[in-house]
Amino acid sequence: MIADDNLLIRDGLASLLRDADIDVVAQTASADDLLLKISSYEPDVAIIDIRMPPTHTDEGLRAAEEIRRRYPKVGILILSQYVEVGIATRLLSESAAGIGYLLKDRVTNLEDFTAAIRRVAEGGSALDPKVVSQLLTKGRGAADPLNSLTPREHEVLTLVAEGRSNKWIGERLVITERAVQKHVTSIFMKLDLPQSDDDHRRILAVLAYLRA
Amino acid sequence: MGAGYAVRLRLRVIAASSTPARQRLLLAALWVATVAAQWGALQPMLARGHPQPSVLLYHVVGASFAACGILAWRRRPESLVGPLMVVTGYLFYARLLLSRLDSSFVQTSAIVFGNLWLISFGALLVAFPGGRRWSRSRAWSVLGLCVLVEAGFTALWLVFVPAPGNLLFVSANSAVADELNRGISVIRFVAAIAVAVVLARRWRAATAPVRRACAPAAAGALTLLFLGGLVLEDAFHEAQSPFLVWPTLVGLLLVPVVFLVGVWRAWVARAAIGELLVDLGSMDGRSLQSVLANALRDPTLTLAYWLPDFGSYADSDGQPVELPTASVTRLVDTVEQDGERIAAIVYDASLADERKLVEAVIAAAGIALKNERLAAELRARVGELRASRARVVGAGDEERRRLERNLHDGAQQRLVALGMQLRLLESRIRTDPAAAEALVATAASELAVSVDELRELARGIHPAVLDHGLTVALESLAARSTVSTAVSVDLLERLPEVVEVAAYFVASEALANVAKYAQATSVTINVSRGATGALVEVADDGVGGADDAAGSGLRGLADRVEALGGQLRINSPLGSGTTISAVIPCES
Repeated sequence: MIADDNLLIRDGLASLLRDADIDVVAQTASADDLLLKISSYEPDVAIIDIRMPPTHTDEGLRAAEEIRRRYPKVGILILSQYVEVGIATRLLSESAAGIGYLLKDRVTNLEDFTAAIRRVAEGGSALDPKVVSQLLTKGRGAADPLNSLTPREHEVLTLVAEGRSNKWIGERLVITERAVQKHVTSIFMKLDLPQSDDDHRRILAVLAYLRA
Repeated sequence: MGAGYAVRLRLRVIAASSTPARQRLLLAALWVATVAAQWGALQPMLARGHPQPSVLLYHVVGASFAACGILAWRRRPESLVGPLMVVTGYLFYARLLLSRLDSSFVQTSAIVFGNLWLISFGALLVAFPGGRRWSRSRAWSVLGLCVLVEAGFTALWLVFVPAPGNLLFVSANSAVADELNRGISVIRFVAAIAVAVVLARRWRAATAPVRRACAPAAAGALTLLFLGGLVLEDAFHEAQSPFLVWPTLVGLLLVPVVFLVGVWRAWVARAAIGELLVDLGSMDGRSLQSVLANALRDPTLTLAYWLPDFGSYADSDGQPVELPTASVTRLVDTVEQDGERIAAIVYDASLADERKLVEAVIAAAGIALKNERLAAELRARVGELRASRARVVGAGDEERRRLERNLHDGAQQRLVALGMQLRLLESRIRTDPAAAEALVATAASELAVSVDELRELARGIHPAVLDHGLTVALESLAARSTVSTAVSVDLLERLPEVVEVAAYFVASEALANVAKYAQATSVTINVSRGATGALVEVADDGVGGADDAAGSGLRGLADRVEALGGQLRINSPLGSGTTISAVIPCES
């Protein structure tokens, strides 16, 4: 299900997704209509633009919150022309399960984009690398435990924060899943975070740490 | 008419004599008359020896009114209060003195008109302190009616009363005479209540300073009520209880004194002008308004300064104020100096009788008033500058928001869509060349539209065409205009860049307005160099009726021009086209 007030984007996205064997059950240009269609289609994922009529401010976000409240099983992938840490915080304030927040440009990397959709559909998370890098590069004191991470651990942390699974990270960095788990355990030790096997609980812990 | 007429005649003479010397002479004559009348009233009684105290007091009432009246008259020649008190005093004497004359006619007249002092006493109460609430004709008709009723009833009563020297006597009938006597007493009592009611209603509507000034009238009304009660008791029970007699007598004696004090206090306020001059010398941060309020003893006094450039009144902080209209409770005077409007002063109606004092105070405050007006004007300008600066910043923010919105909804979306189309193309180019071809065609036209949009946006940020000179820029502006536009630029050399940019935006915004509202068929743009700077004029032949308050576009334009020290004028009579002209000062 796609909600975006720009016809070009909506149509282009639908064509791309169909090519990638993802069913697009419905499209809409407004937040109100989106809620209506969600109730009748109950899709696995709703892809939502933040700015929609009438005020073109945060209609999409508010619709997402409403969907989360009424249909917790529907995954939500927010697409936007820009990404802001503040919006990510608002979006993930309660849970990261089945929630994604990506730049619209990511659409053109089809493989990665569909992977994010599938992850969100399965209850995982997808956070745009730009948000993560904004969080990682934010000014901190010299005593920051982040400085004690090895470059490899840094890489792993970034990918964890984006919501990737150990398996995906292993494939990406060309290491075994067990090696990834080892890195994660080490990172969580260094940052003094509670261990968790759950991907989206893990991302919340990391985000909470990075925002602090 | 007897004494009453004579007094009124004399009054008119005095009113006509405007020079202080003649007035002093006449007041002196009044003094002599008063002393003579008082002596005449008391002499027989004293000759008989051991008069009753109440009777003695009764015979001094007239002197109290006349003496206090003369003093009040001298203090406030322009007020009715003094003359009315003098008239009341003389009318009071009239009966006492005239009835002693050995003439039936005079004696009869003395009885018929003997109680007219009550009417002038009532008039005094109603007229104090401001008076002049009634028109002259209304006041005279009410007075006339009162005199007619009072004198008529008394004359009718005399018809049935056998008395020596009663010229009106026809037949003795004590029953009818008593009834008439009771009737006139009831009428007098009702009249006293009416006066009290008029004063009470005025009191309720009055502001605090007016109430303070009304106190003497209130004391008078109370006395009048006691007197009315006394008259009633006399008519119905043929008795005079001491608890009515004494308050009435004391009241009648003291009321003139209280009135005099009221007048005196206002007069003492005149001494405030001296105080005011001292205050004006050392204001110590106090506002001129509070100094004047203090001088005139009216804390509600407000000053509004006239700002000719703004065409409005403002307080000392330069905030625009709306002048109230003059009413029963508030008076409004404009202050002029050398024929130029300076300010307006709004003050309490209790000062109505003190206009001369108000004038004197304003005259004394003359230079300070002018200075304060300058300060107010300066503050108004600063306020306007601040507002215009805020508008400029706001307009900048709004413009950036508009650019962001345009980029977001336009080029940015198109480029993302274009990216997606390229991806689709990637996947189809081998399998479905026909679809791929169509995709390339749409992508190319999308790209062209995006490029166009970006160019328009860039022009909105800064018209790059200005690099080629104002003439070229204006001509390309004219070429894009939907209304036929002629450009004429009469400049020997290029204007400074900021002036060129401002001139360009004046023309561009004016053309945008023409396209939106004017329904014009042609527009001319003229740019020339005047003595004060560059002159940009955009004139159309449309429907007119434009003003800078309606569209923020013109307001923003005015701000832009004013920020450069220039001026934007909009001349847009309904039905006769619109001319927007900007003068932008430029050096060199």
